[in-house]
Amino acid sequence: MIEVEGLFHKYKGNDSYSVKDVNFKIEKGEIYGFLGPSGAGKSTVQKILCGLLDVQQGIVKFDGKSIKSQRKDFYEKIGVSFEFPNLYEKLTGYENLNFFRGLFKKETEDPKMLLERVGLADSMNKKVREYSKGMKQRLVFARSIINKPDILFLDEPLSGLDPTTAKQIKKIISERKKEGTTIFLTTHNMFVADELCDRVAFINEGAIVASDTPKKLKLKFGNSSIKIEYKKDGRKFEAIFFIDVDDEKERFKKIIDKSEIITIHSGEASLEEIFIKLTGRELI
Amino acid sequence: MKRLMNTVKLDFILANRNFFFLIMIGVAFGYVLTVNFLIPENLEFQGGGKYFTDESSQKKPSLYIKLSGNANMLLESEEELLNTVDSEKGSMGIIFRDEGGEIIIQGYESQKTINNLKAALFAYQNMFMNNSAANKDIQIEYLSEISDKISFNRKIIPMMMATDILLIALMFIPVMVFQEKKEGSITAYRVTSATPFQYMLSKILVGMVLSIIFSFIFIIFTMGSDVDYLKITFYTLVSSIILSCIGLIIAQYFSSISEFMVPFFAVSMVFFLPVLKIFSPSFHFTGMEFIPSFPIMIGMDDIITNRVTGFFNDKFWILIIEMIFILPITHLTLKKFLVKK
Repeated sequence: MIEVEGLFHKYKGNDSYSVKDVNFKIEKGEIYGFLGPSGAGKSTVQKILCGLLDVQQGIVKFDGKSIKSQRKDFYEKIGVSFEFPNLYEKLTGYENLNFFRGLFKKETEDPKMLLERVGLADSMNKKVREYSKGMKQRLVFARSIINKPDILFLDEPLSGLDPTTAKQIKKIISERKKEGTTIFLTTHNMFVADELCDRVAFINEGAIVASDTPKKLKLKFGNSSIKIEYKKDGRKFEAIFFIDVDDEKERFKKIIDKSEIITIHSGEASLEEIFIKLTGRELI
Repeated sequence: MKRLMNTVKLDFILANRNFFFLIMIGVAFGYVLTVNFLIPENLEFQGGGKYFTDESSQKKPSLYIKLSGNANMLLESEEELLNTVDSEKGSMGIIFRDEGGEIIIQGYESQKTINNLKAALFAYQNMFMNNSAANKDIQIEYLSEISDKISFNRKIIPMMMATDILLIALMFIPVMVFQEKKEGSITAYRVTSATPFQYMLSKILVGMVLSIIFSFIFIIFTMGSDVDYLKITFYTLVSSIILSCIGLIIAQYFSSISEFMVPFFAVSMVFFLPVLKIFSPSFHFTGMEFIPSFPIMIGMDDIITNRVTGFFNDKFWILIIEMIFILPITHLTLKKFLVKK
């Protein structure tokens, strides 16, 4: 469905590449998670995949056809949810969806039904500028599926949402997957990725450092970990240690000796812990 | 078509919610009040130079002109005088003959100016030829067709129309583009099946409707029924298309209205240069005819003073050619820069 080979991208004025030698394949009906901290290159890859940025180096194919030779009707097949809400602020929620609905030739979803599903039915006639960040995020998500896309690009779709609404959005994403939609999901939230994605790729400083199913990644890299909550100089801290790594053992011992321990938990490593282990960076 | 109509509908809703229509109606009535009540009906312009040629047998007038220090205004032949007055807008010419004489003017001079010229010619004749030539012996030749003589406040209507269409195109259209850039909604638009062509057409249509609303209110309440509305409509629409395209092109290179201010003033200054021609008809420089505001203003002036012989004058065709060039350039610019900047 989607093939990416040797993808590089450098922004004008930057010396280094924002995306370096990225390779992956996504099968039809799969949810592929692209995980990494802010500035890792996730959104740049998504922008290239949906045609907002040109392919500078590498190959991007949809159904075997290069993105460079895709025609305008390519956009009939895709839906894009952006990280930052980008809506017509002077239109109402309903007007926004109705406008975008009218830009597609194919059969579309009913805007009212979609607004109801994302919990915005009561605010459909309010101007978007009066919406909260979470409401805008939901509206952007609703807009991305208005054209019943075959491929869905979701950039941090659950950011800023309360747990109940996030659950509802996750439900819609799972339903789309069941209907055969291919989903490319970029996030820095590993719990979301773990819950929704069939496969994930860790991206750090523009390069993919590991890619597999969450389960296999945990088996492969998920050494036993210990999570400690401790107090030092009157302040509270948290730390994760992989006890089979020598450096970590030393660090762990130091904290035990010199700090006041509040809680200790052991368990299977989460995707977040594996990411820290592989990259040395936290997912902020 | 469905996508175009949808984009057009959106742009009209946004223009309305930005109060563009109300602003335009307000500005139009403001201009109406200015023209009807604030600007005087009579005001003489300082015209261009006065040229002479001496076709009399004794050549006395030319000798006097040379002695009075105006030798540079004395031309060799009637043909040279005609060519000079024709090329130097706002200038006038006097031909001395043994019997009577001839006055060459542009066609838009006031009766007072014509009378002054006649008086000057009589004075020369009395001085050098002892010839009390009668008024009928003086011929008046108009370089352009005789226009309707209109008052000063009506005379500046074309200038006000051109500047307003310019402001709609260089202010309102870019404001809409910057709003979409700021909201990011243009990025969302970009990942739909809609095309840059539809985007361009929609923005141009908003500019055209705003310009038509303004023109009709302004002309109806200042000129009444003394003007050909069909010609005004065509002129306004073509002018609006060209200027909206310019507004769209420039807006692609900037992200916000504050960034846009410097180029806005620079472009406006260039476009306002032809306006000086209204106040000083002799003001002219090479290439001025191709600044879009020039054919718009002069063409509108021709229509308002009923100086257009056929359905359209040569200024209209300049505008048509400019429109044919600028539409594809705008489309290419949008294709390349829409969203990416």
